[in-house]
Amino acid sequence: METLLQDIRYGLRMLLKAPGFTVVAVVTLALGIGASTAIFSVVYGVLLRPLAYDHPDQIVELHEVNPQGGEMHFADPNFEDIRSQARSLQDLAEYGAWTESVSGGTEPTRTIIAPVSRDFFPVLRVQPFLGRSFSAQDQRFGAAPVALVGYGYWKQFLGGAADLSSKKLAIDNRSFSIVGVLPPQFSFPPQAEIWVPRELYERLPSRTAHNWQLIGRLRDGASVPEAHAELQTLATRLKRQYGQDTMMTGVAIAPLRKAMTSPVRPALWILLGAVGFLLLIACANVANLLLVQSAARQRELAIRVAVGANRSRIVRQLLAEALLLSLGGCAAGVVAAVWGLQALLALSPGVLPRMAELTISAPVLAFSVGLAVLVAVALGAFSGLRCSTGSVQHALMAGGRSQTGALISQRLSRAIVAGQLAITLALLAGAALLGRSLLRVLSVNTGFQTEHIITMNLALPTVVDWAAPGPLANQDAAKQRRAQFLDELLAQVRNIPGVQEVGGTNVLPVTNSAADGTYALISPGEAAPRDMQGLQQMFHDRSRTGDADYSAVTAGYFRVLGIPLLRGRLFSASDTMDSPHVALISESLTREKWPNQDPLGHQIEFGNMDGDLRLLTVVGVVGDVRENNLESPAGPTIYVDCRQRPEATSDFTIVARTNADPAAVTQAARRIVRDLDPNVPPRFATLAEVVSGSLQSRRFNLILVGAFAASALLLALAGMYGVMAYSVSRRTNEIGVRMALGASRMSVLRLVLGQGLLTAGAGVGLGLVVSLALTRTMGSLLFGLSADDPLTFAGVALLLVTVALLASYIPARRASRVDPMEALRYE
Amino acid sequence: MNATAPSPGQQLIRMDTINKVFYTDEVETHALSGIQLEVRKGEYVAIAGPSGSGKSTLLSIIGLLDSPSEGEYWLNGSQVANLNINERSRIRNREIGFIFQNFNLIGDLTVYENVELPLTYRGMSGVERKKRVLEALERVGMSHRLKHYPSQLSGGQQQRVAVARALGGSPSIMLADEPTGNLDSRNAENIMELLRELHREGSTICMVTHDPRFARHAERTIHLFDGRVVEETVEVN
Ligand SMILES: Nc1ncnc2c1ncn2[C@@H]1O[C@H](COP(=O)(O)OP(=O)(O)O)[C@@H](O)[C@H]1O
Ligand SMILES: [Mg+2]
Repeated sequence: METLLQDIRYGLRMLLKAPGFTVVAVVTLALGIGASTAIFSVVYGVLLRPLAYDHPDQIVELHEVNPQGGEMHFADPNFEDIRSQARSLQDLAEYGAWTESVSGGTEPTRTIIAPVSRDFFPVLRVQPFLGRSFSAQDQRFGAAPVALVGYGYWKQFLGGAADLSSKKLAIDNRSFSIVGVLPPQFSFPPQAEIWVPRELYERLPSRTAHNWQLIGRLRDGASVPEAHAELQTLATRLKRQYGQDTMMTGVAIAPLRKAMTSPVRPALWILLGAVGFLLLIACANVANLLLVQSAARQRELAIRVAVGANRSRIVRQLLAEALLLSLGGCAAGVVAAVWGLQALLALSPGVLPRMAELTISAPVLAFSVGLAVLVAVALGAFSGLRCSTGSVQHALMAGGRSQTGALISQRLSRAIVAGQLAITLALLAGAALLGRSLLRVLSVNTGFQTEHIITMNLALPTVVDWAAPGPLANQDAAKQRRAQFLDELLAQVRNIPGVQEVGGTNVLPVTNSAADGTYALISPGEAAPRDMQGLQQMFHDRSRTGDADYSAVTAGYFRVLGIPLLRGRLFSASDTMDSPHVALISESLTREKWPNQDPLGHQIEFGNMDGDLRLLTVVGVVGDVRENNLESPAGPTIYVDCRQRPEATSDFTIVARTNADPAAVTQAARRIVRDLDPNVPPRFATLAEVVSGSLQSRRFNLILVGAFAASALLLALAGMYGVMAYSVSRRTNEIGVRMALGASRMSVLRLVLGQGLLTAGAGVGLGLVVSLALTRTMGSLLFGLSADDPLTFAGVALLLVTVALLASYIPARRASRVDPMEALRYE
Repeated sequence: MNATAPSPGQQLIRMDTINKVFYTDEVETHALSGIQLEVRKGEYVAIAGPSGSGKSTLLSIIGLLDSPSEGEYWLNGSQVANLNINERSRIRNREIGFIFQNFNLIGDLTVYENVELPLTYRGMSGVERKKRVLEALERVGMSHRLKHYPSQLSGGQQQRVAVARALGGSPSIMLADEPTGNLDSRNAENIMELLRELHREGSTICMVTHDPRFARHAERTIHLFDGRVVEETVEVN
C-alpha cells in the first residue's frame, strides 16, 4: 500500500517534470475516451438500457408477416384471434399514434395522441400518477370519450391542476374528459402525450386492414422463441381458415426494446466501432510518446535496476504513471463527453429513439473508467515490456552499443504509426463512403422541385363522423364542408402577396407517410362494387389488381412542385363531388399496366383507401415522384382530387410557391388559418427543409464518422510527424556522416521522405485490407455505391499518403538542413 | 616529370593564408590564422598539435565540410573555398575519403551497405559498386563480414570498415581525424599499419593525431599551435 502511494507520488513527479508530454498525452487520451464515452452513452441509452417498466424483457412487439416475409401492422380480427388463443402471452394490446390538433388546454396544440386497447397499460404495468386509468365502461364503441394525459402536457397546458374534473379536451370534434395523468417518465408510444381508448374507434372486420401496432407481455417463464413457435402455429391455422381473406402467414415477435431501436442499431454499432478506432489511434499516439520518454529515461531506469529494483517493481512504477495519465484523460474526457452529448442531441432531433433521457449515467461512467483502466494497463504493460527486455542493461553500458535498442524502438514506433494510418484509412473510407452516398442521394432525380416552396401542415378533424350510423360514403355534407374549407384556405393563401401558386396534398413526398394499397382495374361497362365485400371479391382476381400509393391532391400541387403533366389534363373546377370521379396516375403505373396503350379513359377502383367506392376515371398521366424517401425509386401512384374525395384529408399540407420572404408569407398564412379555425395550429417548413429532414440520420452518421475520421487523421498526422521528427533527431549524426560522404540535401530529403513513404505505404496497404473487410458492415447505410467502391478507396489512400508525406516533410527538411560539421561533432 | 624527388607528385592541395573564426556568444575564436599549406599527390601528411589547436578545423576545411573565413583553397587546381553546398557535397563524394575517430558507421546498414553508401551517391552502376566494395573490403581484410552490422564488430574492425568506405570511392585524398583515438594500442597499430600500406600503394593521406609515435608514420608533420603552423618536420626513413 505504501509502495503504491510511493509509486503514485513518484509518477506524479515524473509527469510534472515533463509537462509538455503530460499535457499532450492527457489531451490525446481525453479526445479518445471522451468521444468513446459520448457514443457509448448513446449506445447504452438507446440500445442497451432496459426499458423503464416492470420486467421489461417480457414486453414484446408483434407484427403480421406476409408470404413475402414483409412485416405489417395487425388487422383487428387477426389481433383478436391471436389475443384469445395465444397461451404464451398474458396480455396483448393494439395501439396507434398520430398527430391531432388538441384544444381545451391553455392553447391549441399539435399533439400525438395514442389510441390504446384494453391490455395496453397492463402490458406496460403503468398506473396513472394522478386520477384513474380507463375503465371497462370507457372501453366501448360509442362510450363517452375519456383521455389520459402525459405529465409534460399536464404541466404545460393544464397548469398541473390536481382537480381534472372540469377539464375537457377537444380532439377531432369530440370532447374528452380527462381521467388521469401518467407518470413523468412515461412516453410510449414515443412522443405520445394523450392516450384514449382504442375502443372509441371503429373495429374493421377486414383481415387485410393493417391498422394497428401490437405490444404484448409474455407469460412468466415463457421465452420469445417459445412464443414465436406458438404464434406461428396460430397464424398457420388462421391462414388455413381464412385463405385469401388474410395475408398473415406468420407472426414476427421481438422484445420491445430491440424492436424500438432496430432501425438505428447497425448505425450505432458502427459508430461505436468507429469511435473505438479513434481511441485506439489516440492510445497509439500516447504509446509513441511513451517510447520517446522511455528512451530518455533508460538511464534512470537502468540505475534503478542497478540499485536493486526488480522487474515487477519497475513495471508497477510504469503502470502507476500510465494510470495517472489515463485517469487524467478520463476525467477530461468525461467532461468533454457531457458537452459532446449535448452537441449530439442538438445534431440529431428525431434521429434516435429513446433519446429524451440520454445522460452520462452511472453505467456510462463505469464504462469510461473501465476504459481508462484498460488503456492504462495496455500502455503500462507496453512501456514495461519495452523497458525490461534487456535494453536497460544496454543503457548502462554507455555509448555506441545502445544503438540496437534505439533501432528496435524506432521500428516499433514506425509500426505503430503504420497501424494508426491503417485504422485512419478505415475511418476515412467509411466517412467517404457515407459522404459519397449522401451526395448520390442528393443528386437523385426526385421528380419535383424543392426551391422557393413553403409547406404548411394541418392536423384537421376526421371528415366523416365515425360514431354516426350508416356507410361512410353517405356523409356528403361533412365532405362538402371539408372541400369548402380547403377551397377557402387555398384561395386565401393564394392571395398572400408574393405567393405565385398554391396546392394541397394529404402526403408530402419523401416523408415516408404515403399510404399504399391494392387497386383493381375495371373493364369497360363493369359496375363499381356495391360494398367492401364486393371490393374484396374483386381483389381476389390477381390479374386485374396492383399496388399503388394513394394521394389526395389539388391540381395546384403539381404546378407548385413542378411535377410534369405528361398526358391528358390535371384536375379542374368542373371535377365536382357529384361529377364522375377522376384520377391522375404516375408514369410508372402507366408503364406497369398500360405499356403499349393509352391509359386515358380507363377506370380504376381504389375505394379501400378512402371508403368511396365510386370508380376513378384516368384523365391524365404525371411524372414519377419519390414518394417515400429519396433512396427508393418512385413507385406507382394514383392521385385523386381532394375536392372530390376529401375523406383522407385529416392530415393535410398546403404547398405554396413564392419568391417573397418566407417569414412574411408564413405569418400571413398563420393568420388565415387562425381566422378559419382557431383550434388548428399549423406547422410550417420549407420543402427544402422537409427534404433535408428526410436525410437527417444519414447526415448524423456522416457527421459523426466524419468527425472521428478527421480526428483520427489529425492524430495520425501528429503521430507520423512525431515519429519522423524524433527519428531525424536521433539520426542527426548518421545524417551528418552521409553528408560528409557526399550525400546532397536532396538525397537526405529523399531518404527521410522515403522512410515516411514506406511507413505510409505499409499503413495504407494494411488499411486497405482492413477497411475492405470492415466497410462491408456498412452496406445498409450506403446508397448508389458499393462498400468496396474503388474510386473511394483510391482517393482515400491517396489522401492519406499525401498527408503522411506532408507530415514527414518538415522533419525531412530539417534533416536536409543538418550541418555535417555540427552533426559529426556531437556524437 | 622529375624522377629524382622523393615525392614527385603534382600539387593536389594548396592553401593560402586561410583564417577561420568562430563566433559563439559574442566570443570570437580564431581557430586558424594564416595557414599556408601544400600537399602533393601521394604524400602522407600528419597534422599534430595539442587539443584545441585547430587540427580538426583544418581537416574539415580540407575536406570541404566547412569553409574558411578568409583565404584561398585550391583542390586539384580549382578554387574551392567558396563553393555552394551542393558542389561541395559532390566534390566530397568524389575527391575525399573520411575516416573519423568514432568510426561513424551507420548502425542500421550492414558492413557491405556502409561501404557502398558513398558510391550510391555517385549514381554508379550496381555491378561497378559491387566490384569496388568487395575490393575495398578485401583490401582492409574485412570481406568475411559483409552481412554484419557495425554493432556486431569490434572497434578495430569498425575502423577497418570505415577505411574501406573511404577507400572505395578512390578519392584524391583520405582525411583521418585521430583514427586511432577510440582504439586500444594493438588495434591502433593495425590501423596505422593499414594506412601506411595504403600510402605505399599510392594513396594521398592527411591524418590528424596528437600522438607523436603515429605522426612518425607520415613523411611530413605539420605542427599547429593556437591556430598557427609553428613547425614543419620531415621524416627521413
Ligand atoms: N563550431 C565551432 N564553434 C565555435 N568554436 C569552435 C567550433 N569548432 C571549433 N571551435 C573552436 O576552435 C578551436 C579549435 O578546435 P578544433 O579544431 O576542434 O581543435 P583540435 O581538433 O585541435 O582539438 C577550439 O578552441 C574550439 O573550441
Ligand atoms: Mg580535434
